[in-house]
Amino acid sequence: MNISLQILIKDSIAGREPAQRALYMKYRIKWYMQCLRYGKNKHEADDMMQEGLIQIFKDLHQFDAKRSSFETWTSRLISHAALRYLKKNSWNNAFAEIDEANDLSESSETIHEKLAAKELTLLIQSLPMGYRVVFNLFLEGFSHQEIAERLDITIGTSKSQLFKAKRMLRKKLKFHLTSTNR
Amino acid sequence: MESDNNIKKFFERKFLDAQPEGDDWNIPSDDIWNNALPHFPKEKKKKRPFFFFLIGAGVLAMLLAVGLYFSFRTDSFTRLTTNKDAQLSAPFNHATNTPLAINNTPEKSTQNITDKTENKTSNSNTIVAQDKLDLIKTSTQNTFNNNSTNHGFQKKKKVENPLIILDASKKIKEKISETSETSNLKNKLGVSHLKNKTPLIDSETNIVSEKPIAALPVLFPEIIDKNKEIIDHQPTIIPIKRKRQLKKWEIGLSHSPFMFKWVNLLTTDSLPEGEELSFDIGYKNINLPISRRLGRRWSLSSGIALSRIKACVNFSSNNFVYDANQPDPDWTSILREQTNTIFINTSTLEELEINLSPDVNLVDGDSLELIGKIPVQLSFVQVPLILNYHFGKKRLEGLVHAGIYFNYMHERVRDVGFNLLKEDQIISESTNIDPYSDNYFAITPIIGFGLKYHLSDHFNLGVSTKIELFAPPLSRFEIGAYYSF
Repeated sequence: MNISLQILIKDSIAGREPAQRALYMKYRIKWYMQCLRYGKNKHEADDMMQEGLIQIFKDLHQFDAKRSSFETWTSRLISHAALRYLKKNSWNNAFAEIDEANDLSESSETIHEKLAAKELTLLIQSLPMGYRVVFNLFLEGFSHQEIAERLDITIGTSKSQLFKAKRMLRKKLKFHLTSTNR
Repeated sequence: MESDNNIKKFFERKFLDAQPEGDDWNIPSDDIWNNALPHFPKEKKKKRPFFFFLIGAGVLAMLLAVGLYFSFRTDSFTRLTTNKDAQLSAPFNHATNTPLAINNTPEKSTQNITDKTENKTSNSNTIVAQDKLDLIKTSTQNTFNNNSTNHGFQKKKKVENPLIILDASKKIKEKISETSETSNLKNKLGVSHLKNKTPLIDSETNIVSEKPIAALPVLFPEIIDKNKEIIDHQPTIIPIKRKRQLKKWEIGLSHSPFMFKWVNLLTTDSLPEGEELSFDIGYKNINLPISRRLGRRWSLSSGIALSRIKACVNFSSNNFVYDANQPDPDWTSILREQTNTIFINTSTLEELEINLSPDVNLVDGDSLELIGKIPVQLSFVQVPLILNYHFGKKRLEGLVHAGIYFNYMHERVRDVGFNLLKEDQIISESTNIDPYSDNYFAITPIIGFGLKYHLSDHFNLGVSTKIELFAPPLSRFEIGAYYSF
């Protein structure tokens, strides 16, 4: 961890607003994009982001640079806040079986044309919530056991949701992946 | 599995280093920050610098007052432990024109010893100066310096028995003058443990020499009983060559000509090619220490240290290429990375903005250079609380320090300047950054070691190194002169 970040964190813990703001400005996009991937839309992402921010700055004194990087640590707090939000607001039947054929809301042709971060985020947002959450946790490096513990589901369900999420995404990305491999 | 990994890597690659985009889709609205801000930890109230100065000044004043009180509270017996003082204050037998002896008898009661001495008033060789005895009794009733060895720390000892005053007769003086009989005398006097301490008697004046002297140890009652002859002729003041006297208090004035290795704490390594970072540093310091002996080996130091560091961080980088398709670089982040120094509260630079002059037209691929300077001034007041361990018996003394510093720091950054250049021409608009200042209070542990050379009982010169274990890096080398009392 570089010294600038150390100072920002130290000053933020001390409650200095300029430092808190500087830290926020430095990571806001990463944090927000993470929220966007968890949320169904921008409105949900905003709420998650706000909760995540409060959590980060409240718990900042607990951050230990020896145990994890700052990005990893904050990413975990953001995902935790996002899950808390989802559990509070739209958790019902999150992991129910879904007819994937009906859920492909966007045609693959559209996806292929715009595969920047924004479109990929929209693509993830288009996943059913159970798929979306498990897939995001998978992207963040959680194991199936950790995912199961966080979501109060079985490891089997986690694996199943991830498999289906990836299958759905793969369908949408098939063209892109094959063209990249060439 | 491989395709699974491909998906994961693909997404990670896409989300890594995401930048703000034109339609602000991935930029959180200001409302999020504004709504969250009230829930963040708040900065505590500003420290009241004057209040801390008052506390510091009060502590110092108390230390000084206590020191002065004890230093002037020296009784007549203590003064007898030095040559000049002994001559001035020792009772004098006008009949024989010789000084009178002063001894104490810790084992016997006052009355017994006084009786004995009174009984001897008829002896021509022994005179009891009762009036002076009373005077000294009074003055030394409470405290008495146990001076049996007279080197090392002089511990105050409360004694119940007063003094007796005996004549230093010629007879015994002659004995003492004969060096061959010195050891026998010491045996008789019960002071044979004073090895290598030769009593010195001036045959002309019959008493002290110019050398520092010590009063003879206690005249024990057993000796009185067994050696009547010696009792009758007991000299009272015998000069003994002694070691350096330790004083209770010490004040001094020291200076740290430089702070060593602190530049290393500024990250200058691993800079990419084309980037330069340099520091101009000025440093001033003065220390006013005060210490109190806690024993032969230990002392406690405090005082005040005033320091000022002026540093200017200069940097330049010519690694920037204008990309018309990319948003402007985040100069603030670049600046922070390049001026990676702990002396700068980088949040100060948050308001930093760099804008191109309106008449500048950059084309894709133009090479740009970023140059800048950040002058920082750090002033601090330190009040140490340090425990010192002393070793070494003679003039040269070693010390090991351990303790804490109470630091009050004032950091100021102003006249920050930076510019973008293209082909050595400034193409950025002038920028104004509000001066920044902040105050900190911190406690830092320190360790160190030092050497002192004692020019006399009162004066010594010293050097020491003190290393603070945490930032700010105020490790330094001190050189100073000290006065003990």
